[in-house]
Amino acid sequence: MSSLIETHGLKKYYPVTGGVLKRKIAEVKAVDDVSIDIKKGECFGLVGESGCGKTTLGKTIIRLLEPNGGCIFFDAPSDVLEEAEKLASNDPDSKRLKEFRKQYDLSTFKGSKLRHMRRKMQIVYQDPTTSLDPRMLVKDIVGEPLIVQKIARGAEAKERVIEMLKKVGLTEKQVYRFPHEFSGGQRQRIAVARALVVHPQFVVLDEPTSAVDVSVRAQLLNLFEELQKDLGLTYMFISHDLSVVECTSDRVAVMYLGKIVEFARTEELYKSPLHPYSIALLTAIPVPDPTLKRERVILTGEVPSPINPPLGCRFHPRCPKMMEICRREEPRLRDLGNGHFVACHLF
Amino acid sequence: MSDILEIEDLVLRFYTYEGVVEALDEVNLTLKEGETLGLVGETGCGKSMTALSVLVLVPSPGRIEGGHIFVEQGKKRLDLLAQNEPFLRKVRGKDISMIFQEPRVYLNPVYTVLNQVAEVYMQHRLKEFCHMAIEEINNEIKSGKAGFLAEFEKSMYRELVENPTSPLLQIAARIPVLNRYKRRLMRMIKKEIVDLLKSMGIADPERVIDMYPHELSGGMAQRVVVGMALACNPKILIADEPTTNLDVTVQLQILNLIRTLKKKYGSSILYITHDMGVVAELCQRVAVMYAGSICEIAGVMEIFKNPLHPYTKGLLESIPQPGKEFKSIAGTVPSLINPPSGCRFHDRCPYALETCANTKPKMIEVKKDHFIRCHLFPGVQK
Repeated sequence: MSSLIETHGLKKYYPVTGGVLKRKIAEVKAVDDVSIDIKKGECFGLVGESGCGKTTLGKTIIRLLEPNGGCIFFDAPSDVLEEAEKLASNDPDSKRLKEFRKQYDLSTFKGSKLRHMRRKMQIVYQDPTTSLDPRMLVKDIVGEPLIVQKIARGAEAKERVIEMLKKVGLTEKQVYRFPHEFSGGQRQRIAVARALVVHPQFVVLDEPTSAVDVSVRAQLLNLFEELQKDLGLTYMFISHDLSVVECTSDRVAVMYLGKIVEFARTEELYKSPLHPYSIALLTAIPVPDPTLKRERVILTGEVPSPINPPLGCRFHPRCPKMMEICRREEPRLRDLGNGHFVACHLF
Repeated sequence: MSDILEIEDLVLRFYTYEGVVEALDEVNLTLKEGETLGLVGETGCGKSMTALSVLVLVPSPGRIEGGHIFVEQGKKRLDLLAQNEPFLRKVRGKDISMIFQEPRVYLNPVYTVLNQVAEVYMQHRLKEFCHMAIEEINNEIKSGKAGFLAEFEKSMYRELVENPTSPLLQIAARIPVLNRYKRRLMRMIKKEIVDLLKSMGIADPERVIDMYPHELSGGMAQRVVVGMALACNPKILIADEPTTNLDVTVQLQILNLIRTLKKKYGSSILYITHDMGVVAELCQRVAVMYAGSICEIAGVMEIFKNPLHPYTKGLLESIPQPGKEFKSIAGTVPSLINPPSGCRFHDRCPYALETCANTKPKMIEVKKDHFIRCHLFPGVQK
């Protein structure tokens, strides 16, 4: 399978300003040197605790946030990607690499070219009550992307809106209603319809089920699965609910303090997690089975501040298997074969 | 095991402009001594309202329209709904206390941790501390270390024990040198709070007590709230989704904390949650709630192995499991302004009978300690 999105050393730092002149005094390294590839047609899961940079990564990939460094190749042919990687390590200033980046790298796009690309990538936010404008009708909410992208107008737009609403399980009658007239699950369906109405290739789902109840959650997850099959979508599924990610995703990346610490196929990661943080995270999920007794890794303390992350491995102050080298050296993400990547000195 | 808390036929209605919301409809629930009872259900099914009713803290425009809440008090059984407000103030936080869902919202942003937790002690354990203070002053006088105000201080504390509303105290509190007597009290309470927070697993409590809530992380704030709830060793602890907004690793820390504290203090816990995983971890018995009424009560093993009510089955099936298809309960939670007639679940129930729409099922015991409210089980259709 070819990659739809490939990032190389993606960085996003937020400035912290202070003093009278509001000068930059520090940086929050929300996403730091992240290299991932998302294959066409897959569901890519991203898990981690709150504040670890999951949402920032999702937004940076689709250029809702300006990256501070690194590149995002969108839908580039595989031979181009290979060559670009080679060039980046050998000759980063070469003309050919610049040409590639100009053609495929999202982080260099501007103006109308970027707007045209927005058609291909969309996002569904966490809480539909805040992501939908309360003063707009459903027809206008879902139809707005069509008008902005100059795809359709007027009656044609309405037709496409209705078609999309039917696909997400709403009816034609609900077109002239306001968001507050819907239940939480239905509102999330509207948000999904808005994202899909321009027929994107790639959708970032940013905790789409955390604001709804358990019974509605299953309905939404089914909807996502159906739509993926119907429209051939590629998802990036961001969640802190590990059991949901286990059921939806093909591959999962675990994030900690702006870094990817482990990255593997879902079954493999859940069956045999390798990084101490992944082990702790996975054993912390409460399992709905009272007979089960498990061995657990209980982490002490809390996530350190990303303004001043620990030196060396960022996990070392909480790690139960800390070694001397972890304090000094930052581990690289290494391939252990079979597409299982881990960033840890233990391996 | 005796019943420590008994909720009987509790009816709660909210009088809103849109109509009467029948939030709780004859809720029956008992909490046995030393057990952890899980109360599960979807949003808006009345879990939190049941908890608030136990403390008689139902927000306006809600009104408790019927039923009783019996609590063991000494050797008597008291109906909390028949008590007056001053009495209830003594019960809340001392005999029954509550951990709320959002620690950041629950803590007052303009007070430091010390001042907020001290309030619990001032409210419920003031006399105890005054006696301790008097003893300390006596010791100081004996050893000759006491200052010239020692006798006055002692008289103030005695006054505080005997007549806390006396004008003398109010006057003294406004005079600069004389109001120093309270410092001793605060110092003693501070010591107690440091110990308390240490037992909550907070690393350096001396620093934390001088912080404001916004300086605390979510897990830390929840520990402070748990500490406040346990400050007076309550017999009954109501935990209203204490870990919903926390990360899984922090959630595990808090669950372990609650478990160890329960062993230490022997409280009975009413644990409200919507996460079946947490229920399986923590609870001995489970009550499932739907649209303002309880539909099934059973032991935790029984609920997971042998759920009988269609709603409980649906709830358990909607937990995502890898490799299986996601199942969900059709439809949505009904509005409680005009709840469905008969069994409130009948319009979403896959096994609904004709009687379900007409008559309300009664709670029956199908097995030992397994109660269910459903027409599908014979013996109910009387």
